[in-house]
Amino acid sequence: MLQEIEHDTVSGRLAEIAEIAADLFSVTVGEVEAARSFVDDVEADSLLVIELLSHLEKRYGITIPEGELFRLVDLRSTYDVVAEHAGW
Amino acid sequence: MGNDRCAIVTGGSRGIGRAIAVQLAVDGYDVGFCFRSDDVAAKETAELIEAQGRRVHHEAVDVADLDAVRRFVGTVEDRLGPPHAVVACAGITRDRPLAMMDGAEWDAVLRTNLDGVFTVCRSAVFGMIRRRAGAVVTVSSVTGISGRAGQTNYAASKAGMHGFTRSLAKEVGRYGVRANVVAPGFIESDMVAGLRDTARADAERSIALGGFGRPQDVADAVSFLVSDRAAYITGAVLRVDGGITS
Repeated sequence: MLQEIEHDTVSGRLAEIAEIAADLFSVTVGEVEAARSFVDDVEADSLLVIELLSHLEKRYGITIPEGELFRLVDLRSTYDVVAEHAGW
Repeated sequence: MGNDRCAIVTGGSRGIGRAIAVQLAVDGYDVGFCFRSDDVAAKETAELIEAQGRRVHHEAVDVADLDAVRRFVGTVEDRLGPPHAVVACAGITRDRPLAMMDGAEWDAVLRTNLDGVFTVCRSAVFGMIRRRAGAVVTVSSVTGISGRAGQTNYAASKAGMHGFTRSLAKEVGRYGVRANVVAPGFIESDMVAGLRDTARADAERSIALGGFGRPQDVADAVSFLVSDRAAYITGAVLRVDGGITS
């Protein structure tokens, strides 16, 4: 039971982050989920990646150090960065 | 009575940099400034800032060294708070006709004047983006616009600032961070103190207002550009030159 709840929370948060990214990059959630690299696959330029970090900080009330920018490559790694700094 | 803001000035110990640092203190900023090596002048500048009732942090920093500048900016943030205004004023000349200029004279000027703009802006920009507030001013020179014989290196570094600052303005405007250039003409300072009388007279003849400016004239322009009264100004080059380039 506990595992199910945890899974729901994780997938819920992944979906939320995917939506934030999709909105910012002007693509579909599906394209965000499928992208192995935001910059290469959905043509998100580096400036948009900075905006993504900024949006995530605001949404989750966290601080993501600038050194983490390079890790915001795809949905999964972006989730990992947020999770680390949000203490999930 | 301050404005709870902090300002960073590179090259703040003397001349135009000092006038800027002190003016920002008058405007209510706590000021962190760096300088190359003139401890005595730096101490005087620090005292002038404290006389305005503001806090100050100053240290000798090689502005071309990114790590050193990052540490300096970090120290200012810890001691005075996050910088709202960042003014890049560190600058040197090594005048020489190109036909006689050696590599060291080229490098020294580009490193201090242009790399020094990169390092301080790079160190402060992410924080300003995160806070969605900030104003950068880079202090160039009308030489960067019109060129001047004997100053291929200096003019290149100053013209480089214009491209840099305009690009930065376009990157960070969406976060409410502005970036502008102030381009002084002939200003009374150590940099022009060595001008021969004939050169000075020639220069004055081309200046609509008839004489050299003062460091305070440049400081007033910087003070305006970092203030909220310049909220719709970004990517601009403001000449403070008595009309020499008009």
